[in-house]
Amino acid sequence: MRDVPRWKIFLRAMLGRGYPRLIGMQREKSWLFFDILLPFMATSAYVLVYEALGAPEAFKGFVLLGGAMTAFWTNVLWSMAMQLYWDKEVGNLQLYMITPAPLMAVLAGMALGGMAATALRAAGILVAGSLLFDIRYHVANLPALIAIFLISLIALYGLGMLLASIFLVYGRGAWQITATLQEGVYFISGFYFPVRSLGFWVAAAASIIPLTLGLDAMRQLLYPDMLPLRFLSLRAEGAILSALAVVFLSAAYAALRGMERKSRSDGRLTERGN
Amino acid sequence: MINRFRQNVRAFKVGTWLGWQIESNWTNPVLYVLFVVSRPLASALILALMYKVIAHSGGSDDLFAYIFVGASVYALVGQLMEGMSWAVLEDRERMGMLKYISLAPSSLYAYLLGRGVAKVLGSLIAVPIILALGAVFFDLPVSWQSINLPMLTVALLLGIVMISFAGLILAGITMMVARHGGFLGMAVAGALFIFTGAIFPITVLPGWMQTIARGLPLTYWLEAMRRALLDGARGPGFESLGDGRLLLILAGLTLITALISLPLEAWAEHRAKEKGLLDMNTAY
Repeated sequence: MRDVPRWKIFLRAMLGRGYPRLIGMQREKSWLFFDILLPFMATSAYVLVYEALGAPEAFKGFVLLGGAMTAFWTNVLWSMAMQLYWDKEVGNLQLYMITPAPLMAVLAGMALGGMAATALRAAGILVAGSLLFDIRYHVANLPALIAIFLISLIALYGLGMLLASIFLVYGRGAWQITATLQEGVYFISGFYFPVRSLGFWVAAAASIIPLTLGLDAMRQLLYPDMLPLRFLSLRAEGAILSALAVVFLSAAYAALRGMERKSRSDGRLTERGN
Repeated sequence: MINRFRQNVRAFKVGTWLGWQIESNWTNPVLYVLFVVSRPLASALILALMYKVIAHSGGSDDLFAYIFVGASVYALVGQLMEGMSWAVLEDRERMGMLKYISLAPSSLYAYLLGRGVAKVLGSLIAVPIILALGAVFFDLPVSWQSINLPMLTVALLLGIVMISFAGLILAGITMMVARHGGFLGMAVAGALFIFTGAIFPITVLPGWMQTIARGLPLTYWLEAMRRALLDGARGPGFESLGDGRLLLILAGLTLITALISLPLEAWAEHRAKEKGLLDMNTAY
């Protein structure tokens, strides 16, 4: 019998795990509705706050872009970082472990599927908000905008893979940590205001979350006249994001191996309800 | 009658104790307090920064206090609304216990009320801490002198009772629906966040939304809480409404919420038993 090459197993596992993410999330159309509606309502409230404060029109666009990107952050937290914990709870994790598929391929599949499915939700929030609040954009450089968006997502989902491997050894605390990270990052990454207003050092520390720089760079490209509010130059933010993507993916690979070994030796891979 | 009352009190106490254990026993008390404070604090800080970014273009301090206090106290609403419908889902599907609780002679209604109150306990720790941080770091005009304690007590109690009854309406609906139960609390809390003007004056809303806002008990509760904490400052749109009348409206609307909630929950429980929904698994 001929051995299947490792790269083929990796690819198959990745596509196999990505498929249900993409198809499953679109099959239940009403979930799509709620996934767009819930962040949209929060975003609308923030737009109305800027309206009450008499802010320049561009700020509404800032908020809406941030609101759309919350879809990716929540997807990374709840459907990437927490996923191996969920899988452990329902007994899927041990099934992954006894197949020849590497866990890294499983995570990569989840990331790709999640990214594509979430893009639809983010687009829904962006379109609905732009129409409702009559928000205009002034795209200065479309290829750069697309490039920044994609690099941000790669770095972000790399972070998600890293968190997933760390949460593999956590018990119920993983849920609470995730819940805390969700709102905390909305604040520290400047989802609803220019991150520069946090001060240089806080913004620099927050740049460990790829969406901090990703959002700032995208705002620069969508609202060139608001450049005085930028944190770093576009070139610098693009370079840091690329570096983050490489670092997070490598760290996720190393952490996954370490945590998997620890979980096996501590006997926590089949543990449930704790 | 007395026996029934005692059973309800016991179910409430058990629900509260169990809810508190679920909420807090995953970690040590210090980390738990940090956890309960972090989420609403992040929301309040987002609004504080939004205000500070725009402040130079003419935002008033009154508006900042309005926004910050609204965001802080709304944490109670989110916790209660989401908490009760989640309690139904968790007990029914994750723990598989709802059917057994329903079999017991005590009231499911009182038990769920207890689960909701346990959720609020965390927020009751968080809100004063956030307001104190707001006063220290953002000059929020909240101090011992600015607080109208009798009004705060009445408003807080009425609010918790009213939100609990509203949460029980959602719990009843969650018990009956096969889909979207998990989204229900979040969706309603999210919609009310906009319609009640939790973080902006309702006068910003279009006319038809203002009409809805003025029919919601939460709008009056938020206004009462702001007045109680901010030295009687009247919010935009409520300038002509006196404190006494405000509390009276709040009490009336709380009563109406209770009158809707009690029979609806009883009917939902009956229907759930009739249709075999008490051990349904929706994989929420």
